[in-house]
Amino acid sequence: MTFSGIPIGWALALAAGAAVALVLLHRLRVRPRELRVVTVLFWAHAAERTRARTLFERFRHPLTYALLATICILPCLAAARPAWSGDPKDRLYEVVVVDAGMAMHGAEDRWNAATTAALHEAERLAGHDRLAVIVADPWPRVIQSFTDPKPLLKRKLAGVVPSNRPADRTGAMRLAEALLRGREHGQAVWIGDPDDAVMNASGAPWRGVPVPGPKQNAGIVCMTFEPAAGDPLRGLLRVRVGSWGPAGRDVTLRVDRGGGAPLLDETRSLSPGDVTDFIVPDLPADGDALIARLGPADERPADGTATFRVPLRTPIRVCGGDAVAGSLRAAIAADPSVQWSEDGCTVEVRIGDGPAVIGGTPVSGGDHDFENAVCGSGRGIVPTPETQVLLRAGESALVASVKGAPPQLLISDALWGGGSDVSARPALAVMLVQTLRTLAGWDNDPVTVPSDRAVEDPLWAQGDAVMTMPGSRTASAVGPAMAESPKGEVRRSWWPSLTAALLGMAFVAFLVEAALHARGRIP
Amino acid sequence: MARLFSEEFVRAIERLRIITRQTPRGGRHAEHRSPDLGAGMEFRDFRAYVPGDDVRRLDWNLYRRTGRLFLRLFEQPEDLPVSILLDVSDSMFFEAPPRADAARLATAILAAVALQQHDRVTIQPFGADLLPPLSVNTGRAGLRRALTYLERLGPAGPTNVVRAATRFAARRQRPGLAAVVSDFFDPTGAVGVTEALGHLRHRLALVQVIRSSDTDPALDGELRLLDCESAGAVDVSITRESVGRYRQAYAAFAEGLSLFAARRRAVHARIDADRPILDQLDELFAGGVLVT
Repeated sequence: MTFSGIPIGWALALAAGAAVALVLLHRLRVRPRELRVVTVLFWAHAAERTRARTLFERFRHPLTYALLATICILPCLAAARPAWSGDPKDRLYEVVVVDAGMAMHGAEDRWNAATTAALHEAERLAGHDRLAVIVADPWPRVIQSFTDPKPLLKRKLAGVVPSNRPADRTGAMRLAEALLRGREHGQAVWIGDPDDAVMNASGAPWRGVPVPGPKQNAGIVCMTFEPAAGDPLRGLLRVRVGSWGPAGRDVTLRVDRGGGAPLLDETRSLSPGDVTDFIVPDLPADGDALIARLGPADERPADGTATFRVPLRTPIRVCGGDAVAGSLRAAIAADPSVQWSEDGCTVEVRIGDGPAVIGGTPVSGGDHDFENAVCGSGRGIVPTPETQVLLRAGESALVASVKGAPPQLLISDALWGGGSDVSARPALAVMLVQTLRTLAGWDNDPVTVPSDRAVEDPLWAQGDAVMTMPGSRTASAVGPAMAESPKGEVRRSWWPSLTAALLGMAFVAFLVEAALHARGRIP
Repeated sequence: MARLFSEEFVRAIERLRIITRQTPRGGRHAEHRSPDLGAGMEFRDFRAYVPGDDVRRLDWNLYRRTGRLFLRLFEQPEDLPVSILLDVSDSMFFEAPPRADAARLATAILAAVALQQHDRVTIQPFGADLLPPLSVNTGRAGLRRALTYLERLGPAGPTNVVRAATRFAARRQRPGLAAVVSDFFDPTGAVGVTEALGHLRHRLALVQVIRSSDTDPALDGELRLLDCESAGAVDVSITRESVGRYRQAYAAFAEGLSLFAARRRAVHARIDADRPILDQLDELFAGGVLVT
């Protein structure tokens, strides 16, 4: 027989404690003071009713004591949920993963539903089955191991607070699979927003238990900084806001700098499933932090705020030697992102024998392990990783970085050789500026901070409109699947019947005690 | 005797009288009016003379007016048999002062008043059973004997009013006044006591000896109450509720006695054992007269 409710040691200790308590009560019972009176004729009537209700009266008779001890001890054993051990080969090991990420944050009802579902999973197991519980937040961890008593699960779940960051689903699933590794009968259950595609791809048998989500929500999908085509030092900020719910609603977006200066405060009406972009134009790429707040608050306040840091772009100061042709210098300086400087420079352009180098240690050969190579757009330049070959051929300029060294701009001698008119071509200046921008880590692509909430929020996938983040994946592609997961096999155990039997025996003992008391056999 | 029955006590009872509504026939000459006609002083009626009548009772004035002989009839005052059933069970001697003192004083008062009226007095003590009685006829000598007898009475076992009344009723004796002086704490309760007393063919006077602790027990805590007469014990927690139930039981007991007395047109007097008996004579002799 096993006791899945609480360890058998605890149950026995509880029963022993009850017995000790009864013995103490028996020993400490009130011993009445004897007093002779003229008659007990009237006191007999008075005590007839009160005596039965006197607690300590019940401990004076051994049979009464035995019955009371039985009545107390049997429920203690029943509380331990006894069950016959059964065949260990048939034992099921189940890992329950409870989503405690942002999808549950700020939605108390949803988190309560998730914990209730986890407790239900624990209760439906047979007495000899084993249960482990993983909390899936950014740091998935096991809060209940296979050997822990199941009744403690409720207290442990009560101590978990959902995170305001997305859950590490992959890590949680790997952890669950690790726990089930080597178990003949194992099952994993995802409670939250199960993703059937991901679960089916897993090696472990997964079962999803979806938790109903809120019905009304508006949230920030993503924030994007789009550099201006002509001036990469400035751009526009795009805040994409989506809404879902039974009816349209007005949303107000307020964008502030980290220091508090307001940038935007605008209200728009959104239909269910609609998405709209709020624009902050002509925003300098000064690296400042921005805070976007969406109002009014709804059932999912967690996705109503987002932070974004604008890229930091300062003009690239370039200096060069006398060999730099004046026309090339003027062409480079004409670009707003580059500033020709004689005093100091961010990068140095050297033109001379061998490869031209902008910054860093000169690279003088082809036997280098280049990485992050970007080819410039010169005449006859072929973008290929075999850079050293190209350099020897004298047909290309290359922005590259060498392992352990700063980025460098390599320009073939052939471009500067005698009689070459390449330096006079405007295209070379454009190519150089482009490579300088690349060297600085700039590009013309928008800088997007997707809201992880859009991934976590099950509402985004429910609408007919697919919310697409600029230049990025769609929310529906990564959102959770809300389809009903296949129900797992319910392993009905017979411990309730054994528990009920113990409780029934306690009740019968109570009836016997009451009957004997009513007949005057015991006090 | 000096302690219980002082001169003051004797003087106080000299003014008391016992009057009965109906004196049974066949008594000896005394002070109570009876249905018998005889040599009393109170004129009752005339009847025609028949030979053999006492010629001294002829009304000669009536003969002179009517020419016929009539006999004057007078009431025959007779005595009243007074039986006093005195409870001398253990409970009557329990506590201080014992109820037996008040009971014996009440008995002495009844006996003294009856003896003053030339009634025959029988003091019948009882406890678990009837004890040897004392019968006195009249006079100071008789009262002195009664008082001495009362002084010598001691505890006589548990209270058994039922047995005492039943056996007393079985005796052949001229009906008279039966005064029961007791606390009536019979194990059968008021029902058993009244049922047993109902068998008595006497006029009844119930003298219940009480004390204030009967209605207001000064107890507290968890107690095992032991009966002073029997081995009976009751474990009780003294609470407001339990005391209330005790009072209800005692009130029912007292009410049972009162209802019985009212049904039998008997006197029901309550004598407080904690108060001087002379201060409570009005309980027994309202206006100095005990009318039965």
